[in-house]
Amino acid sequence: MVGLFLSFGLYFIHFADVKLRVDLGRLLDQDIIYLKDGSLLRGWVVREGRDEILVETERGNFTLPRARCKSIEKDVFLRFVRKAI
Amino acid sequence: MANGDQQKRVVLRVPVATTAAIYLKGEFYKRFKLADLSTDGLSVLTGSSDVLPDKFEIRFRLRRFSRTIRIVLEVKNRISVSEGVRLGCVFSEISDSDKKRVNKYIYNFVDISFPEQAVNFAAFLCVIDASFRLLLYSINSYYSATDLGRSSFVPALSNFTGITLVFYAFLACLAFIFSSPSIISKGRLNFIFSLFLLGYAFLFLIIKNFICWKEGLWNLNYLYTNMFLVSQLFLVFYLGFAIVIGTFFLKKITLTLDIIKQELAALKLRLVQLKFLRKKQN
Repeated sequence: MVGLFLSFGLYFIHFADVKLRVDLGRLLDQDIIYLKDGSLLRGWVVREGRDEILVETERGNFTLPRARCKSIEKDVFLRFVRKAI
Repeated sequence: MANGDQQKRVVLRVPVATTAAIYLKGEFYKRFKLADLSTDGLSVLTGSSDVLPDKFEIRFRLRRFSRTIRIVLEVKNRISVSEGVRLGCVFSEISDSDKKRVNKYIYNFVDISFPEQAVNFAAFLCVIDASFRLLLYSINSYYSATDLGRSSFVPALSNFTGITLVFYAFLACLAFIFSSPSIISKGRLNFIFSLFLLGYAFLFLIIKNFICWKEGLWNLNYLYTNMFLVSQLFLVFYLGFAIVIGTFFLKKITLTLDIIKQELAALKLRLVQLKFLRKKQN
């Protein structure tokens, strides 16, 4: 069983499609932006300015006024994996 | 009455912690301690001064509130022991329902599959858990070592985490091997060893659960992360349950394995005797 999982790990590193690796990397990299109105945004913070934040999401890129943001949680899944395992 | 050396029961005998009432010609005579019970006979411990006939009736309960079992016994051998005289008897007259009750008692006594399976399954779950964690660790290491992790804000995992994980996986595999029924049947130490290994796994998972709770990972509210946390929590409970069951049944497992070992030795001896007799006849 351990061997099976390790084999998959090795396969992932050496043979897996680059797109899969990139997608997984992006998933691990995902950030959450908590807005002041109580909602949240899942995406990737591309650039953080003093007044604006450039966010990339599944639906495209857009600029978010910093005044609307309550907090930003970065690398949510990566943080989870590193703490959980 | 046959000589004890010539007539030996080669069926599984289990100890019984109960007293039995002896009836001679329908009249109550005395209560004696039962030494052991098998599917076709039992042995009674009597005092040195008590003389019992070759055939008598016995009544006893296998459990406090169970029905009384009535059997007519035939004495096959009388052996002097430190407590008095041990009468080896075979069932001469027994009703079908009483026979079933005796068989069920013996079957339940030697059946150690429940704790065995509980511990073995717990070890199996630990192996899967360890494998999954190792897979996550290897993906994480790859991620940290390549460009994909360039925007990471979280420090990479230390080597210590990796070593702990590998150690956990190794111990889980060992526990799974040592708790398999074929290995347990070779000795109770294997079972105790697997319990110790599971103890480490239990400790490891308790710490992991505590870290997850302390770091607020439950607040993420993602389906997959919650699935992982719930399964981790379930594993801790199941592991705890398996360790408790294993410890609780340890005495029974030890006793059963000893009985099986003794019976096997008796069977081997009987086989050697038979071979010797056959050679002698030829």
